[in-house]
Amino acid sequence: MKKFIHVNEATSAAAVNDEESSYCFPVSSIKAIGTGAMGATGAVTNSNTKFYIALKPYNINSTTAGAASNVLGDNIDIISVTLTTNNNQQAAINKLIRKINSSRATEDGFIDLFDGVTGVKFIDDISAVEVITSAANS
Amino acid sequence: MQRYLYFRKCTSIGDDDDGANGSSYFPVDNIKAMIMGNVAIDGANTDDPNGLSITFEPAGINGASGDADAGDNDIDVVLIEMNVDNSPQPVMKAIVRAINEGPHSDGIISIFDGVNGTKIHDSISDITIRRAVND
Repeated sequence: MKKFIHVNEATSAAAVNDEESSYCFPVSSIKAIGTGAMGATGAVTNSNTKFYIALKPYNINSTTAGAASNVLGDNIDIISVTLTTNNNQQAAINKLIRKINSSRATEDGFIDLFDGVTGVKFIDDISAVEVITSAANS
Repeated sequence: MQRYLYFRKCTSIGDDDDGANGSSYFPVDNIKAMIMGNVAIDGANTDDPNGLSITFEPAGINGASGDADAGDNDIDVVLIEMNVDNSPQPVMKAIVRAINEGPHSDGIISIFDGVNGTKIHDSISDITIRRAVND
């Protein structure tokens, strides 16, 4: 099964119209998951409530063919997840990874991690998500 | 099994003859993301309440070190136009479910076919295919 993670950082339906709203990433694009707050350059700063899902960028290809001067070509995308409880990241990440690897017959491959409009959240402790992406790649 | 998303914008079989209007098959493994908004091949995303973009690894750029220019970071994009504003999730779900359907799938997942008048979800009204080139 090819699974996808959906997040919607918008909090009103009318705001679901741009890159600050609904994303659906293939699980196969995940590069790493960990505690803290990661930026598009990969730097991680400390945070007691956040964990990051680092992803292959949606708007930059995976070749090495971009111009050498274009540093954006090295950037990544990040789903930055904010939890309500301090230092609860490991439990949340473990739950997500178990879902990624679950093979129940009823699964359809769509993991709705967080939706700020519908209130759906896969992990109860999530209070918000932010998707950090690069600007245009050229 | 290698699965492919299938798109055909044109409404007449006689126009099934090019990269913008004709039959296009994108490997599921080349999907980078599905994202709300209207994405250009350089990754810029413009607000669009009825636009859902699927981004792909580009067919027209390989991974070698050719004559590098900024455009070589570009991606392929299929913009799905919806007749319902601000509601991409049902379309996303329909695509993900089709990708994972089985065991009788033949690997061809038809998202939009203007000739046959078929689409994977009723809210899809049209598509636009954008391709990166390695110039």
